[in-house]
Amino acid sequence: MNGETLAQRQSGLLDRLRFKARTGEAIVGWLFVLPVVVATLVFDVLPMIPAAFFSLHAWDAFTPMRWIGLGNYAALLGDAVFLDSVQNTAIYVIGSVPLSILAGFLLALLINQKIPGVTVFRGIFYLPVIASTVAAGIVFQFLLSPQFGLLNSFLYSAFGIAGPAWLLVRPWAMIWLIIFSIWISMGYYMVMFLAGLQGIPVQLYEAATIDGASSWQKLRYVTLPLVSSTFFFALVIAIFIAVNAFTLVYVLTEASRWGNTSAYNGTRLVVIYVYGEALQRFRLGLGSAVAMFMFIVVGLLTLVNFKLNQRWVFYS
Amino acid sequence: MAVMRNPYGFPESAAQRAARRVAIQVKLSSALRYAVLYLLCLVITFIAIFPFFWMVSTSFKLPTEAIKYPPEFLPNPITFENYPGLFKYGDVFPFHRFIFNSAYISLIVTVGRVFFSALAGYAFARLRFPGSGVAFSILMIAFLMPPVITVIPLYTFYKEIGWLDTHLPLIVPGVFSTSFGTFLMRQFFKTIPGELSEAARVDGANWWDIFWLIMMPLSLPALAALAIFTFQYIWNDFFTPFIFIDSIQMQTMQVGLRAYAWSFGTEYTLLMAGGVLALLPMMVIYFSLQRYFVQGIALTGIKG
Repeated sequence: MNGETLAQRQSGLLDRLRFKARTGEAIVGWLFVLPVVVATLVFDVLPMIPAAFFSLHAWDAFTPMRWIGLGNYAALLGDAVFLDSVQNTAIYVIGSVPLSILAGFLLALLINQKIPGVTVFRGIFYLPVIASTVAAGIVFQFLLSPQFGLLNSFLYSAFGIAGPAWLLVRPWAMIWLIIFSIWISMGYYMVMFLAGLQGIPVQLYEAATIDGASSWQKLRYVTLPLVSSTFFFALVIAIFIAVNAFTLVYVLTEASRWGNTSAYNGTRLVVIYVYGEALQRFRLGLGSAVAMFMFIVVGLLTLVNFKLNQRWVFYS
Repeated sequence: MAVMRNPYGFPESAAQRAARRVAIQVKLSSALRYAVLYLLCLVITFIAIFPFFWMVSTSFKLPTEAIKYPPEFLPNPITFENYPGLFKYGDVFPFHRFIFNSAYISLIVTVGRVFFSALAGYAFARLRFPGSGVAFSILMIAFLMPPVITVIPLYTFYKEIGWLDTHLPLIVPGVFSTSFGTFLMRQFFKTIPGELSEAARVDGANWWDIFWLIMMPLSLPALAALAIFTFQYIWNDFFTPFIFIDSIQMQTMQVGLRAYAWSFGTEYTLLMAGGVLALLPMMVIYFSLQRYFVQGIALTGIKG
């Protein structure tokens, strides 16, 4: 006699079964996520550690590393080229982020109207988003070419103006870079806002109409508060993309300088600087220091964004 | 008294007259509204597609016509020589290799990434296992990791293990390192009612069966959206092959085309033909599967 009642034995058996099932679930769960988690660690998260380590060394990839403490960071503060690239990036972020988001929002308002055939326009407006940046950059270079570009041909025949080499001179190169970034991303933010707009209950607009609200008041007091979280999300994404811009700049304005290195068009952004220093001149330590700097800036901007969002984002 | 008559022949009251006037005004103003909205749509359409139009048009022009002043909008005469012309440099600019490399890498990564995203997304959405929170936050950290910070360590890492100038830096992280895809699939699986898999559990199905036989067939729209996003991202990716691949034979379409533009930047008709080829696969996919794009963006949970 073991003194157990039937009920106790049954509940013990159930417990064991539950335990087995739970262990099985745990093992299967880990098996299913393991490939993705390991790869994300190896390729996306852990490289941060060597980046921080490299940034404290002088290293050219061929000779052994030499510890120089914060030497790279100090060198950066005295490097006019680096400071210029920070300034360019700031101009680019301030120019492209608000305008891209605003363009996307306005497009979404337009596409959200109940007019026949609107889905066709939605499809067209999204087209630049899926286009290859390289191909788009090449056609923009052609359109903006000083001698053979359509823009300068038009300016000449319409106004008799000989247009500049848009992508080679300040401030035009930066202006066109910002226009290019808006053109490429407006459809993306449009679809984002469209999802937000279509999530707003129709009854709210009906109630506002009955209360005699004008279109502007409906936009200001119904639409805007209800898509403010989309604005916030778009802002986080847009800042991240703009601070890290490489391909866009490289294929449009940087590539225009090739073979013409005497011209400086004011569009060397920070990531372009990192590429040049680290992977062309093999100053890996210095490049890593810039990368750490970028990481901190992006992190701080995101943090500020999240702190401020409680002030203006409305959660229903 | 001359009474205005409505079509039914009854005398119209003052109130009816006023109502009719208002109705006409409303109709007029809504017609005006339509006109303004369509005009706006047309202007933006022009902005959005003119560069593509110009690219396609130029790719069918003769080289002398492409740079003629004043420019002509349509090719006259039409020539088809620019497309074969791209391949004239043979192994110096092997466009057939670029296309093949891009196509096979994009396909492998798309299939692999969709599968592993779904597998992990399913586990995160449905299975309870210790440490799942930590594992998921690792993926979220990867979300916010700027590529610039990983590129130098990865470069030295790939150099160490002999992956530089191979396709492995594109394929392996492409297939497995899929934080966005996992997030997207998790969001989707959370919307599928749990009763279905509970019922299958009771009937003795194991987790794999539930995933493969029940969840996957139910998530075709989400899988399609993720597949399209992935293909788009890999096919259009410039940064990764540009950094990790050196020899021209190994290059993808995007880097190959950019290198070509560098060397032959004034051969506009050939360049535009190359641009069309670099765009074409995505355009075909986009126009045939358009609705999945929109669904996919909505799925990432960015509703207002």
